[in-house]
Amino acid sequence: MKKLLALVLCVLFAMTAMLVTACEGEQTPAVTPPEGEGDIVRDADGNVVYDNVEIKMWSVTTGDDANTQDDIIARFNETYKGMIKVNVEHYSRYDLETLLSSTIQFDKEKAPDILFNHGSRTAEYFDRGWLREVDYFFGKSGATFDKPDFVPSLLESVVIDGKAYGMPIDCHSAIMCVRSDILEKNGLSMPTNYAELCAVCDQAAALAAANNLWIRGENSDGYKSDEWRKASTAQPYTAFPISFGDMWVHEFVGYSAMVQNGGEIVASDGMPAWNSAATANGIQVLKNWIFPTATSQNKSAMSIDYGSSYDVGDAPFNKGECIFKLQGPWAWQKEKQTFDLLLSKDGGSANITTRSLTFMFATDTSKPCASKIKGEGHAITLLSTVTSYTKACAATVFMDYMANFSGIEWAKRGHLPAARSVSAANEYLSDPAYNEYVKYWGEPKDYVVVAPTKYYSYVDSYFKSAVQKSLAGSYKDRNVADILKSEYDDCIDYINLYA
Amino acid sequence: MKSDKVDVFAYAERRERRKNSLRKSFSVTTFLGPYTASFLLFFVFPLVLGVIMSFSKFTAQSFLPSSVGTLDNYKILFSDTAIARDFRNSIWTTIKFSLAIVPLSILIPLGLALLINLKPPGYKFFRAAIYVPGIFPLTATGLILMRMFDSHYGFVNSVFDLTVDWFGSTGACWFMIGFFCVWCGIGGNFIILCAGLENVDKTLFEAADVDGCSAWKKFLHVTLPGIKPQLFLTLFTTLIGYMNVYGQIYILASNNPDLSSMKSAVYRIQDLLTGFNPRAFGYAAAMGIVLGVIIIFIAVIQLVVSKDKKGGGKRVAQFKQWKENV
Amino acid sequence: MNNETKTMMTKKEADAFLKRNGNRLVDDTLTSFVSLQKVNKVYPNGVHAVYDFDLEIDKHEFVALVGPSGCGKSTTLRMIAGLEDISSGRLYIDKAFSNYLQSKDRDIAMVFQSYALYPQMSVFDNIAFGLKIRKLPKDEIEHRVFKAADILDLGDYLDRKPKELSGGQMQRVALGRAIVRQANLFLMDEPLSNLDAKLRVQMRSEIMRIHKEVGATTIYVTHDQTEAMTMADVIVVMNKGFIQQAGRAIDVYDHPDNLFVATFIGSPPMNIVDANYKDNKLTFADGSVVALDDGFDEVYRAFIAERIAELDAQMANFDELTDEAVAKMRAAQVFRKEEKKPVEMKKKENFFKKLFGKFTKKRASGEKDDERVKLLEEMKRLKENYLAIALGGAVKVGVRPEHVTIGDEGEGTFNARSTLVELLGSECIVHFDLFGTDFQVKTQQNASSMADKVCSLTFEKGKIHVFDADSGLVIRR
Repeated sequence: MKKLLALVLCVLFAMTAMLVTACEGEQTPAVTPPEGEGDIVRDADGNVVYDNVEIKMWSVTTGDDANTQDDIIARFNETYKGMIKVNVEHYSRYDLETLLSSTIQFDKEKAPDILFNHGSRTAEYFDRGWLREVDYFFGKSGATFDKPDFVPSLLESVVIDGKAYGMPIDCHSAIMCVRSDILEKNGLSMPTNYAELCAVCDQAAALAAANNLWIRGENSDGYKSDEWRKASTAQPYTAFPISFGDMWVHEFVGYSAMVQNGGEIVASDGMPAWNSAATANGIQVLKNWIFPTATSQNKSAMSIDYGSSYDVGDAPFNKGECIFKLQGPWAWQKEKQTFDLLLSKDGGSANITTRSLTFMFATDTSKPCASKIKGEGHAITLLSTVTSYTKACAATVFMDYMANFSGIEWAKRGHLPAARSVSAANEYLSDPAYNEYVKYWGEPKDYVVVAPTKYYSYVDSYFKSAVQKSLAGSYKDRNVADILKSEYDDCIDYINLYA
Repeated sequence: MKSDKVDVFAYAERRERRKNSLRKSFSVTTFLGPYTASFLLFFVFPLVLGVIMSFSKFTAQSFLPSSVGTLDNYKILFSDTAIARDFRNSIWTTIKFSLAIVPLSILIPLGLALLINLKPPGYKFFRAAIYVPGIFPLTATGLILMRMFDSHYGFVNSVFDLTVDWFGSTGACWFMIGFFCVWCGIGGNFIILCAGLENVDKTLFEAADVDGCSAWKKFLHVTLPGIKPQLFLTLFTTLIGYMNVYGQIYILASNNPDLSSMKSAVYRIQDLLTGFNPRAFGYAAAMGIVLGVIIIFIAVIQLVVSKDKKGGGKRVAQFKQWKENV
Repeated sequence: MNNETKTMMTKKEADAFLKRNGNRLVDDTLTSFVSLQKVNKVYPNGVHAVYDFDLEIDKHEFVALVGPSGCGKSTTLRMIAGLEDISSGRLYIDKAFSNYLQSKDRDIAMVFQSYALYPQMSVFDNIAFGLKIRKLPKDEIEHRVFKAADILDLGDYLDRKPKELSGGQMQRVALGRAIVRQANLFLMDEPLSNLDAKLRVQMRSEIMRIHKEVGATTIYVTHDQTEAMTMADVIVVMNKGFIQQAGRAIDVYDHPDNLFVATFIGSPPMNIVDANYKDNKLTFADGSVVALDDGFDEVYRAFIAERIAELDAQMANFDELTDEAVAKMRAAQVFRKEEKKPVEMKKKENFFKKLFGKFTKKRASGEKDDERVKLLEEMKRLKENYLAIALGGAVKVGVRPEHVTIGDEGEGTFNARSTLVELLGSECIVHFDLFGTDFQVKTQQNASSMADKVCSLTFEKGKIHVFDADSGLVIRR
């Protein structure tokens, strides 16, 4: 029996070895550049004929965003009824990449045709051979891809070696929610840049220390929520809570602080470029936020050390124990609802307003980079699984539509259009939502995203780790520049592994 | 022409014997068959494949290796790059963690099992209550724990008036991870030790009584040797289990600024595999093999130490000498 | 302390008295080494395992507690060892009151039925364990252990673990463990029952040899009456929690006190036959008559009169009998009649019944009343029976197999057909069908000649035992 088992094992081993070595060297064939008309059929006027072309799209939007997107796509399908139909499946961004990887390797028939994903992943997907260029097919289908119209940073993320592999659709970042009623009551002005923000926060802290700061909101002291009360003098008043455990800080605020002070995220060769004095200055701004020094712009702390807690602004904002908080633009509607209920007797949601992060971390507002906001952009990319030229053309028609015709609906969810002509259009500007809040979320041209790099995951995660460490109380005594350098060294090491 | 006649008796005997052995092996194959198949498919095959992968190089394009038969992956692991340093640190962290948690994971259930063995009123309820935490899903309990111990909005800090950042500072975070592991993990060991305690021969306790043992001596000389097989089983499985710790650290330390120093070995391997990018497969496989070898090494040490030692001949020799002197 | 006045003293005097003896109650009037006075054992679930156990054991005596399974002998031994609590009564070991003394302080050594050897220790360590616990010096331990190993011939096995030993060797190790302690009292709980027959006989003589050499007081529990008979100085026969008879082996054999002892002791057991007694003559079912000694009639009538007087006394004081006493008497009666003893399990009381039971005392006592009524009825019935047979009536006759002579048909008192012949080698046992029951006779005659033949049976004079059918007691002077 033992001998038999040994024999079986040996056979198994041999089989596996043979299988593996036989396939040694076999790779996914490089995508051949397109030429000719392929399977395109043209009608008498020379337009491409689409006969019930079905396109499968995988989208990284979920929840309410997904519902809005479904509506937009339904309108497209209606417009192109009988010609092009887009079927969309939504996956969370944590699952999408793994799913894509295994599907493309093992289950090609189920692979999607186009992807609605974050533009910054484009370079990595290209590196894995998943993408197909779109310029050629825009030329064939007649749909427009007016590259100069798009915000440069967003466009850059989908262009590799001069060729575009998709079309940018939108961009978003974290935004600020502001208790305008507290500002008004205490005679404080709405800050428009970092210096003013520090001033307002310092003033609020001083007023509170002198027992002169009026606040209102949820409380356990017996006041009604719309009743004005004095802020407690027991602890210092911190007007703008942030924490290293917060997602907003990770994804957007850390980067924004860096770029507004002149830092660069990615160098031209794809390597991280955030190990610089400018970046250190930017991060120092955030560190001073929690641990002010003698030389910092703010004299009193703008946030307490929340440590690893996340969503730290929510509770104080509702209680009136802070004036500003970070939030995602898609949650703005919910914030309004909350305040409609909370301060229903006195204006409801009119007591809060919103602003973008532009200028909020810049120590020198005269520099052109001071207005930048680091965000994330969505783009629709074409996958290399598409072999039919007709389908590729249909995909370009759809991309065009999404970039140019979903404007204000999509913007209300916090995703500002990447095409500048859209945000300048009448339709866009005359929508009441625009005046109410969308306009405060900044110009898309101010939005920057991470430039394309195939080392995106390393560049991103090590920078985030550096920000986290810099804001943590346990690392208070370490120099920001030192932290940046050690994270940078580790990052380079890992990248060189795959060089 | 060679005669093709056979001796009828020998032939019949051969046939009967073959039929008999087929009949006997039928039940073996029917019952063992499915298990053997799964064992080969899900254990042996991945193991062999993993070893092969650790000797291969991969690119981002394909799941199949671009070259097989290279020691590069292992060389990198023993070099001075960040990946090697991180991996070695994580192994050391994992070993330290295991050394700290494993004794707790065995002593606490042992104490509880001894208490339950006294069969106090309501012991059946407590027996179930001790086991129940282990059946809850890891992620759900981890998230609840994070909310409970949140340094600003958590229930624990507000009730006990503390300001400890349970998940932000490294020491407190390790404490939470250890607490979580013990809370979830004692159930299994507890059941095994409970069963072991019940099988200790009661008359041995009476003999120990008559011999004059106090309660502690009885524990030392009767209880502990009586549950030795169960103790070794739990030690073995608990040690291997905690050398593979991943989930608890992933959930509870996710917001810790010093996360990279807290990552365990499996965590590092997982890191390489996020996004399912094939180019990391070679390194991940090599890491896995190295970790496996280390665990096997520890397990072998444990087996050798716990082996039943043979008597030797010391006393017999002494006796013979005594006999002569008398 | 039998004299009432002696035991009554002021508290101060009592404290001083106790202090003198190291805070232990020492009764110097006792002459025996182990004294059990009215020891009872009642388990928490209500089962009464041992009733009123009275026994005095002298130093260096070998006492065997023998009886069928469940008779309470092991329980008694464990009470002496301290492994069970004594429900009521007093236990004195070496004149000191030991009811509440811990096992390790009682200076006893115990040998268990299952040997109870520590599996992880070698033979040497097993034997030495008790001494190690008591922190004796190493040389002393070695000396004692080697000496014991020498006596028990365990020298070559000192390094082996219990799982490498045979049954007999394990038993010897257990004995060794007891010997080295040099305790004054050895307690053995059926130590040989796990061994095969030949080994058992061998170990029996070993134990006796050791007893002679070491000389410690030994209490030996067994269900095998042959063992008890061969090994013990004093046998105590027990059944269903009561002592049936205690005495020297040969006395118990020759003069059993009741039916149970008569049939339990002796192998093959005593033959019991029904008969009718009148005027010194026993008349059997087939009309045969056996004459008894002349003085027997007097003895018979005296016996009956005694029984009646006893019943009268009990019935007169009936209302003063405690519930316990009633239960005891019922139990005694029941076993005499070989009825199944009702297991007095405490019924799992309903929680609410318990709660409200305080208000319904009547219900609880109802059961006890039942018992008293039954007992009274039983007593009355017995008295009537005795009155009826005052001058003669149905009795049971017992005679041992070796006290019967076999002759040819017609020669002796009875004629019976032989049904089975058992060959023992030196002698044989012939089974007869006498009055429908199996009657065994031991004889040294040729076995083959006995098979399936009608023979005559004659009882040896003076070896006939007459028992009262109701109480099972022997009718004797």
